[in-house]
Amino acid sequence: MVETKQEILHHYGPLSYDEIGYLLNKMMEKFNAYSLSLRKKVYTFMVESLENVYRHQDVMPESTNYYPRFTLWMSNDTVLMSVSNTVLQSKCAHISKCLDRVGQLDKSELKELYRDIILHGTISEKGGAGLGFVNMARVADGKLGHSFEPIAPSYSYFTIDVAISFKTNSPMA
Amino acid sequence: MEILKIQPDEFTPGILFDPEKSVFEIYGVSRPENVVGFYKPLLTWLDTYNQEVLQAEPEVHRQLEVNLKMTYFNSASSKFLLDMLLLFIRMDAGNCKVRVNWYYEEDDDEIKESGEELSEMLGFPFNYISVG
Repeated sequence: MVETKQEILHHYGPLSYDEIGYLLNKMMEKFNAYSLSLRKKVYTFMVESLENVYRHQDVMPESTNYYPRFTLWMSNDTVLMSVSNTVLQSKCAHISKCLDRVGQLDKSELKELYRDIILHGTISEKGGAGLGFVNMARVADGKLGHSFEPIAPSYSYFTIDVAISFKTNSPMA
Repeated sequence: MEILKIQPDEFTPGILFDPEKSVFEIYGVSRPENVVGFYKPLLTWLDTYNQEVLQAEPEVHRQLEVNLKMTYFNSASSKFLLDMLLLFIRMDAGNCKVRVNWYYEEDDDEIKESGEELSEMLGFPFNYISVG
């Protein structure tokens, strides 16, 4: 079978909370024929990743070249998503360490980490619970890709990629 | 105490609590832009209810029904839902018998599993109710 990759949703530009809502509603509309389980997984990844951008991005002053970017594609049996934003390079090592950590965990270990953070963590000043990457990894069965592209002396363009298979979440008849 | 009523919107859940009827209900989507600003006053309200109503009149308020009818909650909200449930468990440890009802759509495995995880973490049994 020939692999096809079709773009379903795309955003590039400043990201407001309302814009996140718009993207979520559009996704639910476009995935209406698919199982609730697949829609919930895609919805969860979108919320956690886009809210992560909204709360934690480091906006590069006087730059219009690297706004937040979100794209969702469908391939034959997979939903692919990619989310990018600017971050200070001083934060890259810590972010990378967090993502590498969750990437090494299996399903039950991710559940344990989630439990540990929710029971013992606190809500940050920015309103995060420290559970975003864990939740993203859980819907992706641990398979989160990430990269940092240096774009200025102090900034990188940070990207998270995910692939969610819908072999077991096929369209309803 | 007055009835607590918060209308749901695209980002925040609806809340209905009539202290006289002893039924608390939270429903809908929870991903508030200001999660602390939404949940902190609710936790304070519940704490006041515990101290000023339940502990002041233990013989009157002997049971409390807690209905959770969430369709989605983000990770920051889950932390506050846990804190809220801890308050209800504290009430249950007193003279007020608390029953937690966790509603979920028939084919919504994610929400059902979220309830099971919270119940397991708290060591407190939930009553699961499938709807639709």
